[in-house]
Amino acid sequence: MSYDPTSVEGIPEHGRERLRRIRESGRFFTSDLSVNEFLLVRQAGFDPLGLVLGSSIYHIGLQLRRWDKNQELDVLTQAMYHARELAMTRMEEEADQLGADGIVGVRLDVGRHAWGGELAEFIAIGTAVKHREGELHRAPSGRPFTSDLSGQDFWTLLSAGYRPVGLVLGNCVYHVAHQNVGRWISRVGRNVEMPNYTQALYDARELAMERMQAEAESLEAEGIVGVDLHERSHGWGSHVIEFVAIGTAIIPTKADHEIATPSLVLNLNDPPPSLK
Amino acid sequence: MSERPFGSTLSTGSFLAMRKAGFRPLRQVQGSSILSLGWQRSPALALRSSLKPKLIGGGYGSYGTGAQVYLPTGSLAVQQYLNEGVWMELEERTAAYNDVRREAVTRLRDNAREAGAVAVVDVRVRRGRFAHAPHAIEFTAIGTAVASDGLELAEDEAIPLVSLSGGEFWKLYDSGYWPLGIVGGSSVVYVISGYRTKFARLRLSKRSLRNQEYEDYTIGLSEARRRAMGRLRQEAREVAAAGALAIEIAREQREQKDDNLIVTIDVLGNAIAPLEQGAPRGVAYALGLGKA
Repeated sequence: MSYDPTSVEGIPEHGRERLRRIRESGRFFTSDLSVNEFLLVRQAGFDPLGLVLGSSIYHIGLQLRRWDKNQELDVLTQAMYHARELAMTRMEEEADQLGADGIVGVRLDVGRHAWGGELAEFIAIGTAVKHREGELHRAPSGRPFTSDLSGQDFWTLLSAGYRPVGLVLGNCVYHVAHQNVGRWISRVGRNVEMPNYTQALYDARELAMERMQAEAESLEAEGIVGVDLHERSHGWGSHVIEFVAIGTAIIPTKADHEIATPSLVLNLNDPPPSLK
Repeated sequence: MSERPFGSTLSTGSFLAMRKAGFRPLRQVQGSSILSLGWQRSPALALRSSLKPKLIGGGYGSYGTGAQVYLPTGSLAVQQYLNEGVWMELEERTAAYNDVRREAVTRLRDNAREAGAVAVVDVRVRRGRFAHAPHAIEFTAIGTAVASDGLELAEDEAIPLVSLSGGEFWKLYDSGYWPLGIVGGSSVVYVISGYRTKFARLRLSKRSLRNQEYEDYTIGLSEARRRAMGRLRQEAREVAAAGALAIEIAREQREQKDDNLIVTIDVLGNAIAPLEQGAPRGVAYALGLGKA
């Protein structure tokens, strides 16, 4: 798919106005980075420009499926992928309007609401950053780079001689076949592997990872870091599962990737919120 | 020591970091406001009646045969509204959310000033509604007031309120930034769904079979967010901030009848400004010795 870096197609009129104002007023920035992340992003030589986001509320079409068949549900897969892509592209366009080099700390959320089974909300949100010395850090395609790495990881990666080029994503919505009565009877009371279940989950996971890999290849990346492979059932019942693989594709900026020897410290930081 | 013991939500590390920066905790301070939502006329009623299509020829039940002709009272724009939907901000509701936040923040500041504080850290915010009073909204902010050994605020200078922990406050201060306070913005937007959305949501209608975006909802949601962020920027500009950090976006969507939607967006962030002194420190790699 070709991408025009100057396109503002998906951004509503007022969104454009907001971004123009941010650019003209120059200094003021907004960001959802924490203090730690903010300081590290600044250390890495980048200035935050603004909070950028894209969203899409999406209608998922009709999906037919066989009760007793392992299969990928292509309508659902495409819906979940397309809507994420819409949200991501809008976010990138916002960043582009700000003249950013890229977006760090990207989060992709899928919200499903009680009031609409066929309706899903997709949000991509992150902080647009620009290199202070004007070094261009965009992806080879001319798009702003995207990355779901935190400010900490971003700093570490840059100082180790890599840079992110893009958030890569693969997904697969899979229907796990129900087992019929004959099979159920043949297994009752015994410890046996259930090959159709194993096979289904294996297949789905593999498809999602393969698609993510293909995205990274198209970005000419050297590798993907921080891959998060998770499965979710978006209220489609127990036999329909979505596998999502998300990671950040990186390319090297120098030949050696040495880091300084770590020292030992006793951390005075607050415990992470989950422990509170 | 003759002073009263202090009370704070600071962790040990945060407490020590604050002491290091020359601040000492005083006590917990709070600001709270509960506001009853006024009555808001449904904008859908007014809009729909003025846009109601008129029937020429054809008859009931002839949808899709081409016999029904719309005679828009306006022009193409009217049909566009009907097809694509329209959004509008509910001014009264929006004002209520913004007022309740400002009121609570002002009270927190007053409370902190009484305590003799130069800043309030670790501010925790509770927003929401009550089960026993569904038409009331609450905004409560509770934080730890801190006094400084060296620093004094000018008489008219606003006390900075930050939702950051003591450690984060120190790091920010040490790197040459001063927090100015909590800034926020709210917006309540009403989305009147268009026919495209209505048909897509109609079970097993032709439109509902394929994947598509709900453009009216998407636009309504992003407009609500834009407006809320705009107000946050406005508040930040009033205190001459250089930026706003750690922004949180809270949203609530409720469906109304006829597939209409009410979107409530609340954003909160910490405004910061650069100081003359202070410089970024070097960063080194370390392996933690604390508990996992």
